[in-house]
Amino acid sequence: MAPQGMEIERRNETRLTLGQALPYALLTVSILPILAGYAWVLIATFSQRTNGLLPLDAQGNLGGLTFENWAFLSESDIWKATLNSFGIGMSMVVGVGSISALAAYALSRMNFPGRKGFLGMTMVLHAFRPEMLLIAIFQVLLFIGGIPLLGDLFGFNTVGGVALVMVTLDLPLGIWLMKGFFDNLSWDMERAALIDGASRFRVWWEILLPQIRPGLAALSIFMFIQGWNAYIIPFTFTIGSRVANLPVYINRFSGDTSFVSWNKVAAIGLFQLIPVLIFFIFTQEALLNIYGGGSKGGT
Amino acid sequence: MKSEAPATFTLHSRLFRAEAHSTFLILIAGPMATTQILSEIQDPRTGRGRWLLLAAGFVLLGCFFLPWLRFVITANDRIALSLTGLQAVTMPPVETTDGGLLYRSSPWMYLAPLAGIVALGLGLLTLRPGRSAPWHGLFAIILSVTAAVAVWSVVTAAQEIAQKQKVSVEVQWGLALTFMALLLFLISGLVALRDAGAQQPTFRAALDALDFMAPGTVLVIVFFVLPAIILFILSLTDLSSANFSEPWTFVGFDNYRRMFSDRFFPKILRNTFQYVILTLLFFNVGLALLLALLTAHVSRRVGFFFRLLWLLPRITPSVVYIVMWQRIAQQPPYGILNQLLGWLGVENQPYWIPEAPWVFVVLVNGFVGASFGMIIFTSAIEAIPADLIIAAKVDGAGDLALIRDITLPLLRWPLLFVVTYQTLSLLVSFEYILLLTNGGPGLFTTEVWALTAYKRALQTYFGSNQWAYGAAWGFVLVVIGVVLSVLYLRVFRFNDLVQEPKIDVL
Repeated sequence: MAPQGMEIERRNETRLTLGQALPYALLTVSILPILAGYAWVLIATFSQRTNGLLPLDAQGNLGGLTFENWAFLSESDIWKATLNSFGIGMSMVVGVGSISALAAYALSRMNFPGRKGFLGMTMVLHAFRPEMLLIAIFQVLLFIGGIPLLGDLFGFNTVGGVALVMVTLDLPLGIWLMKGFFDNLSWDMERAALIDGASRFRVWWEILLPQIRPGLAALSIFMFIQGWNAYIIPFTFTIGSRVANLPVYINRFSGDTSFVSWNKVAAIGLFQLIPVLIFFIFTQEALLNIYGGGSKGGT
Repeated sequence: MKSEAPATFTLHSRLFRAEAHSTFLILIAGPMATTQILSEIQDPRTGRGRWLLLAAGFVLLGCFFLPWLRFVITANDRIALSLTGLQAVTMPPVETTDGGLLYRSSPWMYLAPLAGIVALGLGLLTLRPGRSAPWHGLFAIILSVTAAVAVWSVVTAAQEIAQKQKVSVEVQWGLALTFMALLLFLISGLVALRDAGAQQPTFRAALDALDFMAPGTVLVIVFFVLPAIILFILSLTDLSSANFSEPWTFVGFDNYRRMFSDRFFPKILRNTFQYVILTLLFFNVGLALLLALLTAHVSRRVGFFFRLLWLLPRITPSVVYIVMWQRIAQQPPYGILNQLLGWLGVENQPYWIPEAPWVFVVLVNGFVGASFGMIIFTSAIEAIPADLIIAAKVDGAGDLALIRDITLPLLRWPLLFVVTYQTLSLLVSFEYILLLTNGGPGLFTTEVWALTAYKRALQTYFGSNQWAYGAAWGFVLVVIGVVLSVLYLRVFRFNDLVQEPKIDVL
């Protein structure tokens, strides 16, 4: 719509100055709280304390640039939490990526009994992320925790268990996205390979996956962010600092009502935001597509 | 410990019987696994040779380890279960250096791995390539399951002894390795069965699909289907942290009765409606539509930039996001909003979140939720044929008329989609409310249904987790969610979405 619209707008340039400025003004004003929030994080991270968005030193004068909020980097707990967050993120990438790529291929290309049922179920689960099931998943994890070895890796209060639950909860989204990618690929090469006698698995691995690499990369980044940011599931299924991830670690400071060292919280928050923002900057278009595209099927 | 000998003796003998059982099984299972694997490797049509060779290694390793089960009652009252010995012929226990009793394995047990090696040789000599008989697979499955049950019984027996003697059980890695070997054995059996089935054209397609669907299906069953069933069963019990270690007692629909007669039930119901409707109306649909129209109206790059900015709340970690809002709302001189008001001359303002909790609950959720509708609406607006707009502009339509008469009518379906979709996700979401107000301030001021379920079951509530009661709250929500989503699938013509794939018709 833009090119045509612009031509007409150019013709009416003199009349539309206010009308043109209005959308920009509205867009800017509406996003202000978020910008203010981010600005506060950036400012507070490097100052002794803040009033509003003004950095202050201990005497209450403007200034007070400091790096002591970053002292937390020398604590071992933060690195444990970072490692756990990273582990959950990577499990999401590998788990959701591989499992949904497998299932989506079958759902996109094969006809088998139960296909429709499975698609319907994942669609329902995609429509509402059933966090209510956490109550029952708690029991499942307790049961898994009772099994030797498996319990140490995937039971209650383990990073593996958290990762497994997270992977499953995001699986419906992954499957639908992947199915969309596969549906858009042409059949020809694949069919030729099948007629030549290649196995389904080989076709999937050597012909289809290379073609959807950009989509796979976008999904991976999205899943990493999901895992890296995860709060409610790690918070529910872990106890203590050994298995806490970054959001749970931060919440231990910020959730404490009696005394909150806000500037330290800001610093840890920024520390957690760094990888998210890096991904955000480099994968903008893909992220926009995923956040909307995962459900494009409905329209 | 001596005085208790009669009581523990029967348990000990049970333990040893179980061990003998598993040894016997492994003596058959080892050779069976080997022949099975060899037949797979030699089959030139399947490309699974390499990983099955790996599986063979593990199963053989299992054959070595499984028979070597022993358990030690040491002086410091620990039973160590390890798989380094197995008493088919039990040797009398000897005293260890720290004064405990060591039950050792008999030398006869070296026979098990030996048998495995012999079977390997025999398999190499006798098996002909290219045939995968279904009974191979069946045997492997049955044997691995029974062997697992046998080993499991050893473990539980040991645990029982430990409980009677009030000592702790230490399960060591050898046991885990055995389970892993048995699992691989089971998988190789399933693969063999599958291959045998694939020789039949009727099963071929379904089995091909099964390969791809298996991991996803297992996870969906373990973490979606099973929990949904457990949630319902749980809601019929009275499980709480008070009677956690006892077996579940069923109380019928008491939890549901209690839920509906809860003093705060009407309040929570009202909160839920209020939360969903306000957030949906003002943000997830209202603001989303406004943003989509505005970003489509300004130049392409600026529009993209603003849409991108609106993604920020969604990708910000929830905990950090809430901290930002808390800082915005805080009392002077800390809060950003109050600083702004101060500059405008409005002094002595409060901490805004407890002051206007609902405003912030809706704001916080709305800023996250708006981007979804925005993206959907934007792609719908971009899909509107340019001819329509040009024609309207030629006819002299202004911007507002353009939006009212062309854009909005064409957005009918996306609108309906976003409304239904976001109603569902709002209904079950509680993470931001949990972090922002935790249902407060005061009693149930901002507590919504989903949060109630979560808090009752999983938050320590006056020193107790009421899992069963929380499950009742949660299950009602799950039922509502499922019913609504099925309706919504109907509306959005699900059948067109899942039309049958064409590639199967080669």
